[in-house]
Amino acid sequence: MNEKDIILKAKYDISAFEYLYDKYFLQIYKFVMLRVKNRDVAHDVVSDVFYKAMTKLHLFKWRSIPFSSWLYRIAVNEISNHYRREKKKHKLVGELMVEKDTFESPPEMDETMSYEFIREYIKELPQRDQDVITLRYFEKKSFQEISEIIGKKEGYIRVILHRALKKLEQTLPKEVLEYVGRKVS
Amino acid sequence: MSVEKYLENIKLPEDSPGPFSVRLRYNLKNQLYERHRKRERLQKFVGNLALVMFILVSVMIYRPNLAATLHDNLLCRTGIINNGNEDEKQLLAEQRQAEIELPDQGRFLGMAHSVSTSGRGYSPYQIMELSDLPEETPYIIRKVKDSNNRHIYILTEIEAVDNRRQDLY
Repeated sequence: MNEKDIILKAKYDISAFEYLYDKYFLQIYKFVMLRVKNRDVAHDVVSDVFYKAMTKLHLFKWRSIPFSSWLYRIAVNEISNHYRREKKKHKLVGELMVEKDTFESPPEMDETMSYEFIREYIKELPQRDQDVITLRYFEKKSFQEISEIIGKKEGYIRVILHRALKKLEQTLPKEVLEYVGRKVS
Repeated sequence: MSVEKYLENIKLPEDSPGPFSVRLRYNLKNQLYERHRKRERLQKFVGNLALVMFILVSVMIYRPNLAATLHDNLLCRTGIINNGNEDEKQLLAEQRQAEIELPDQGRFLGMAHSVSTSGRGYSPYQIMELSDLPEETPYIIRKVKDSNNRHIYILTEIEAVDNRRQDLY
């Protein structure tokens, strides 16, 4: 039974959905963890993603995008919903936290190769830029897949990514880039 | 080194979902899915109910005789609803009571004429049917005039002497 048949069956049978859950859970979980970086929030978002996927499966049409891209699209929407809610709730707290970060001591150079380090710079970018960077460099998705997930044309995704990288380059300290360059080469 | 290269070489954290994966699978299957199915079942029930109501209303519009038969046989006979017979009986009983209590007003209300509107100053009742009514108490009215030209009406009740005498009125 191929995936198309399983999806058709899952529209009426929860046991068929379990197969899809097992297949895509880890991918979606990792992606959400990279974007929210808070275990509890990530759990909530992942739960919402799979609940929505399960209840809205009848709306999924095989011919438009692959199932995995459809799941990623739900995840992207849920993450942006989460940040929208958080922005309203904890605006003041967020500002205080940003201020605190600026007074921290400079990081050790070895730490710069970790996701935790770069994340602090990525999270300053707009949500759409963060989605594109995460999908492209951490999830290793092709431009076509990203365009299916975001729901925009490939050309638009390339432009978004190019601008996002430029912004990131401007915010990253020069010594970090030099150090990483030496280490990689 | 470009940022692109840098991002490609980033070391990603190894986050394991742990028991969350199993717990979510269980929740999806046993709680969320069941709730979703319940909502679906409720929607189906409401849909079916709406269909039945639509059919009933259609029958009422296009086949009123059939609707009336259904109404009488299914609902009134089984006592589910009141068909209005009891209300009708109550109304008739009240009407009869009113006629007994107020015979003149009840039976001849439409036949009375206002004295002031009459051309002759008075309007005698030409009601032959009054003799048919049982008489309760006879009265005599006297009109007298005093020295100041004021009119006084004196009402005298007549006591019945015997049954034969009373029947003459």
